[in-house]
Amino acid sequence: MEFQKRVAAIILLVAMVVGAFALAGCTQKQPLTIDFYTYTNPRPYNPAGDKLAEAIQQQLQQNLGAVVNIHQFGWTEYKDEILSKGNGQMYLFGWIGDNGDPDNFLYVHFHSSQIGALNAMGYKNPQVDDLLTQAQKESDPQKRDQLYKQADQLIVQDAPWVFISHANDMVATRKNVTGFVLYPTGSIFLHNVDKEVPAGQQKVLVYARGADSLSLDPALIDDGESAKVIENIYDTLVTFEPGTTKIKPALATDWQISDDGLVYTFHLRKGVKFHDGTPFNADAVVASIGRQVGQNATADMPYASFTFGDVDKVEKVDDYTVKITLKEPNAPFLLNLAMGPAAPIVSPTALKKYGADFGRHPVGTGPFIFEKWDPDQQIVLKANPNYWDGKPKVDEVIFKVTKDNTVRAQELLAGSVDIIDGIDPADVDSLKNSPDINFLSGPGMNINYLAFRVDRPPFDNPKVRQAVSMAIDRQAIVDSLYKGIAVVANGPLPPGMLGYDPNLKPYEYNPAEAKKLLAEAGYKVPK
Amino acid sequence: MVSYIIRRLLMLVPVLLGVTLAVFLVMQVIPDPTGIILGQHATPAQMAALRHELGLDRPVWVQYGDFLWKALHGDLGRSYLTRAPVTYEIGRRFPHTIELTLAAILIASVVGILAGIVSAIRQYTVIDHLAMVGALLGVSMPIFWLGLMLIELFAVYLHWLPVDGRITLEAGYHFRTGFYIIEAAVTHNWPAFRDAVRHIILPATALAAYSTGLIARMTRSSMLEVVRQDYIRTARAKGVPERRVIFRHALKNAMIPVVTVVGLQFGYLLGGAVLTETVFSWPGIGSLAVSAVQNSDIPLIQGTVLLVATVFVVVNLVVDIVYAFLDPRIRYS
Repeated sequence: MEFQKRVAAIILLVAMVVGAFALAGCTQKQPLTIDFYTYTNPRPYNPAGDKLAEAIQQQLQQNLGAVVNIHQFGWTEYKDEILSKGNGQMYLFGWIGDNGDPDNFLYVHFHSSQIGALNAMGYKNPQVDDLLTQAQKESDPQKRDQLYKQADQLIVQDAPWVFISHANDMVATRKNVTGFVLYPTGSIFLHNVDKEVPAGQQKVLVYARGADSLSLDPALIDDGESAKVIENIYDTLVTFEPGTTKIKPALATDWQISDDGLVYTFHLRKGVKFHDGTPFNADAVVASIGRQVGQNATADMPYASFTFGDVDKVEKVDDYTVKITLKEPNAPFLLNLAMGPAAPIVSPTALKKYGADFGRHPVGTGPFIFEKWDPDQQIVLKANPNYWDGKPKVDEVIFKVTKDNTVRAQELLAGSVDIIDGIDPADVDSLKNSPDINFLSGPGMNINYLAFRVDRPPFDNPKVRQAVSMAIDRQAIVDSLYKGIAVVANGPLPPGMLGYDPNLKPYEYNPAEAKKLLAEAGYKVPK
Repeated sequence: MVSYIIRRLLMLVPVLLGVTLAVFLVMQVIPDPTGIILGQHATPAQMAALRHELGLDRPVWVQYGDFLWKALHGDLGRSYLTRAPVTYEIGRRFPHTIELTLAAILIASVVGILAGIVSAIRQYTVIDHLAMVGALLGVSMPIFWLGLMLIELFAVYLHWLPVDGRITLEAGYHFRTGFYIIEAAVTHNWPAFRDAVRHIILPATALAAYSTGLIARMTRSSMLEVVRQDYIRTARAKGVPERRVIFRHALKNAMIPVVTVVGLQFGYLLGGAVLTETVFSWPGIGSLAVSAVQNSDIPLIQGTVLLVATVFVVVNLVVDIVYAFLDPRIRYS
């Protein structure tokens, strides 16, 4: 009896030990579980909207056996969740470049000083910090290019992002429209665009887009629809060479930058007049920039701190010379001065006359003169016959609002408008196949990415980041979701930008290797 | 009658208070508008500063009280995005919507009532079946889809009518009001009138489809009921011509329920204008409401909802009054 009890006790003990080991084994080897945050609506860099998150979820389940819980939000709420509240372990996001400079992609996302803002990943690499700070102060483009290429390399190795794709910019015009050029920054300059019409007829160019402008005061806007119109009413001190992000003179004929990179001296074009007849001079530049600098900048000037945040003071030297002093060197500053928001030079007389209503009575020096604005319908501009760079080729430009993408494409097919943007992927083929239409597309200045919060589990472990990166087939996603309207990204920068390295090699799709890495990181993976 | 109208007008007050309160509470759960106003570079500090400037950091009831007090003085605030007064934004767009809605009501009433009468007097014939299938289609087709199909057929394929928009922009017509068709008629500007009418046909048809179907079915059943009544048989027995029996004796009585439906459709059409205006690039309050919602432009959303609610309530009141004129048996006290 005693013996039997003892045997029973031993058996029980053994069973318990075995059971405990089995249980412990189970708790040790769990599948990877991810809280995945995403937005619902299509974005310019991700026209497929929420389908992208579903595709990623499916691939991670299939290739890693990962449990991916998707949390979806509308765009504004989403930004709040991601950037302010810091929720989620990995999230989808994207970026549209402002000024065509790599600083505007790399510094804002990967410098550790930006943690809490766009660097919501919590990414911190002292070497990257150094390179990005150095590049910001360096004025020699070749040296900057090298610095950014080194930074790209480090970032790609650290894999805080999965670099998904760059969406193409797409514009379609009627065949009788010539001279339209796509700019990497998305700028729309219609000065040299011509339209072939029967002799004796007025040349009226109709440009249809998806939403109305918000204001035509460059200091108060940051949306593309306002910028498109503003770029044709106003001039900037410097502007882009056609189709590039290279700088050329505009209202400034030439300029000097001091050796320490702090003082910019601009010599202004003489004999230029605003549309209201007042002369363009140093006072106009001081007024246009001065109202957005330091204490003068109000909360509703969205680009003031981006464009002029580093400006200490702007002074008139004489009638045609202006000196801008920066607080610290900022290499992209010249590019900022070529942008549609914030930078354009406005008529100080008109600004004073119209006050808060200046945005509806815009007065600049540009190729087109503001004529009228019927909200949600059209903005009409007339050619400026005295434009300093030559009279525009067309007599009148109408920026028309057509909210629905498909209707806009049909307008172009029917010939009732001349140029359209905001093309729906579903309409690409019918536009491309039409004999009456020129289809223009080029790599856009944007990035569509998946970010890991690297400051917390599970993605504080580089192996987990690498495993997830290698378990996502980006080429398949781009092929199936974007059907030729985007290209696969190889790093954080879009092609053609300073610092872009075509030889960059991110973690490529390799499910077997991904499984191995995830197993090494201590997760349960499927056979 | 006068005291009834006054009482109904007084009832507007609690209804509109309820509407504003509902809109206000809904506004509390939509995303923070400061993120949109400040764009992709916004820092939390800037957003907080702007929230303070807009008064969004005050308690909800203070904000509501402030909104009501200003609204009583005709001030609905300024749009966050365009920075113009909400009354100005709405005032510039509402005439376009009114003209579209009136055109749709016209189409729906004329086509709907005629189809209903024909169906009723030719009950169970091919015409009746065709009309009722048409009515069923009209009621069940989504405006958005119907609009795109109309564009595809009449504008892109047949080239009979323009694709979208209010008027041919390149023609450079100048209008002082938003009532393009009415203004062009009044000023005898016939090219502009023709152009504006050509532009309103497709959107008004798309918008009217549902109401046309509904009115047709309503008229048919109402007519069928009336023509079976004794006084119609008496009229026929007296030898009154059939045309006169239908249009004089039957139609007036059959119209009473139809008037209600037409009146209520006015409110529906104002709502349907949101979709129609989006498809046809119509610069009315529907387009305005859509961009206001997309941009979390709170004052603009409140303004448009308040306007539509007010119109809806006032139209219902008018319908009730018209009732009394059509049917002397209805008395209000």
